[in-house]
Amino acid sequence: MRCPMCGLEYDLKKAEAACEAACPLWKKCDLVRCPNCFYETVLEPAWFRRLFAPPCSLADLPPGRQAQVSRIETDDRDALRKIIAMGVLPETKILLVQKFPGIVFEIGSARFSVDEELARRIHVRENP
Amino acid sequence: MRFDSALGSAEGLLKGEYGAPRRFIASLLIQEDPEITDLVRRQEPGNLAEIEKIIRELKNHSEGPVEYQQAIRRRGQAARIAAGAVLPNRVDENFGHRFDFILMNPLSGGLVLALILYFGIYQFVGVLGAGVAVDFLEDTVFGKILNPRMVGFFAKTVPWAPLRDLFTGEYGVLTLGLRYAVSLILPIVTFFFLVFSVIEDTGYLPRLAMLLDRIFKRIGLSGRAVIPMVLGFGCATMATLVTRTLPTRRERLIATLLLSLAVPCSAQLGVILAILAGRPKAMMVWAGVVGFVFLAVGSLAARILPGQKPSFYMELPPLRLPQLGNVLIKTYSRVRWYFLEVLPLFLLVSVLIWAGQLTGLFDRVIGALRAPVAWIGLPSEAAKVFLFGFFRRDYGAAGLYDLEKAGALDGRQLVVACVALTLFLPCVAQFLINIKERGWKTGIAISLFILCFAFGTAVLVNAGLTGLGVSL
Repeated sequence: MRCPMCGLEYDLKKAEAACEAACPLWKKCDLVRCPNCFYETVLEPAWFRRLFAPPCSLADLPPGRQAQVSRIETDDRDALRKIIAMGVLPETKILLVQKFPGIVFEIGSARFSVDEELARRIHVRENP
Repeated sequence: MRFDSALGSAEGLLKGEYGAPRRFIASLLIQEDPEITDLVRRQEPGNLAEIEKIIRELKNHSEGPVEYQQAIRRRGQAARIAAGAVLPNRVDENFGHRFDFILMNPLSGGLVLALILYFGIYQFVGVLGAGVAVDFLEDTVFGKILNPRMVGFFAKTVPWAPLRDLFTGEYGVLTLGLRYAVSLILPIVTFFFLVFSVIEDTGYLPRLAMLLDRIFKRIGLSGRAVIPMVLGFGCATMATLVTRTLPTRRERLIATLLLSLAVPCSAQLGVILAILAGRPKAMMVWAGVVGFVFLAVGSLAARILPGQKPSFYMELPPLRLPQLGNVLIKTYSRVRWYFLEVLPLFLLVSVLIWAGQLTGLFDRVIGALRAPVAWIGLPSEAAKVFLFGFFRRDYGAAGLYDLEKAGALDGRQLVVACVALTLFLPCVAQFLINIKERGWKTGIAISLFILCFAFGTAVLVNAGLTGLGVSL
């Protein structure tokens, strides 16, 4: 989420903490609050975010492409441990083999399969 | 390097004995491993508080969780070591990858799965195992050779009729218990585990898990659950033990419920395939109803049960040609486990039925079961089958097989009976394992649900088929 007031990129979980600090009616509320400037705004719908976000996660890569891991989302520790267990870390080179019905990728000569939720946590940049 | 100093001071604070190097324990503590934290809390709560202070300090200064930082550092070390020691030698994996493509593509992968099911399960286990091998053992070995001799031997040596019946009567330990176990269950289970071992050794199962992950997500499971589910077609009791490989309680519960309800074990499956073999329409109705129940109950459970959604990740090992020796050893040990598990129960059931008959209890229970059995449109002889089915469901299916051979049932009744038996209460062994693995409350709740649900489904199927006037 990007704050339209101050331009900060923030995590929705952090936004919740900002809401809790600023407002007694924060639960069951559709607005989100920037943790930096406390500006309140509506949440962009998921399809809208996907439409304008640059293709950057492993799930967005077209099959058959080689890419390098740039970042891994670390907020969910269970998911993070699974990703680490497969040897996926920043700088790792990944070849995306296929995307349907399951996402299959190759690191070195090992192949792994993950579901879309996990693949979305792996951010990549394509190799030229 | 901040990590190293934190690790050093945490190690220095630890005083207990853990059967492992303190540095290792300290490292897991810093990674906030819940089990190790509990362990240390029990032994030295004071020191743990100190260590937690160090961990908080470390967390304030590092970006991202500690295990993430550690993994990155470890990878750097490993890469340095490997660079000086390993020469890359890329093997040509084209053939394997092309084959892999066929297995993992949704279209050809589905076709391969259908071929495996048709030839591996239907033709090999159903026709060859449950048909040819069972017929040979049933009719020739037991029917012509063993049974007449045993009956003759006991007729000569045992003068007291009830005792004679215990061994060689209609439900005798030898003529029924031993015969069912050896001539019906043994060949079917052996054939199934043979196929399963071959499939397992090729590395096909992780690919199947990948293929089915999306469907399994709908029923609250991940692709990982494919392995216990497929194994459930061998023996649901064994498969329930294998649900331990599933990561969350919720997944284990859903898998156990589905295994108990809608996954027929190989003995049951073999017998049902044999019974319905000549009636393709009946078999389709049976498979349709059971498949629908599997998906419907699964997706309902996924909606109702609280907890985290499953997530799927799995290594796809390279495809390998299975080695005959490994396959045989695996099959042997599984069949042995199964047979040793089954045989005493079969013999015990024979004794119980004998005792029940002698005291008249058996007749009374069958009498009581007659009414519900009539509601699902079955003749009263089928009550016996359901009573058997309570002790072991394959035992019940075997009884149904006898009934079908005698020509007592028409197509509709066969379908209803097969559906009811497939869904019906798990066998005693599985009931006990459910309680052991899931706790007695959940175990009994699962059984009660299945009892009502199986009966309800059978009533509906019977009413539906009768109402539509379908003849099968």
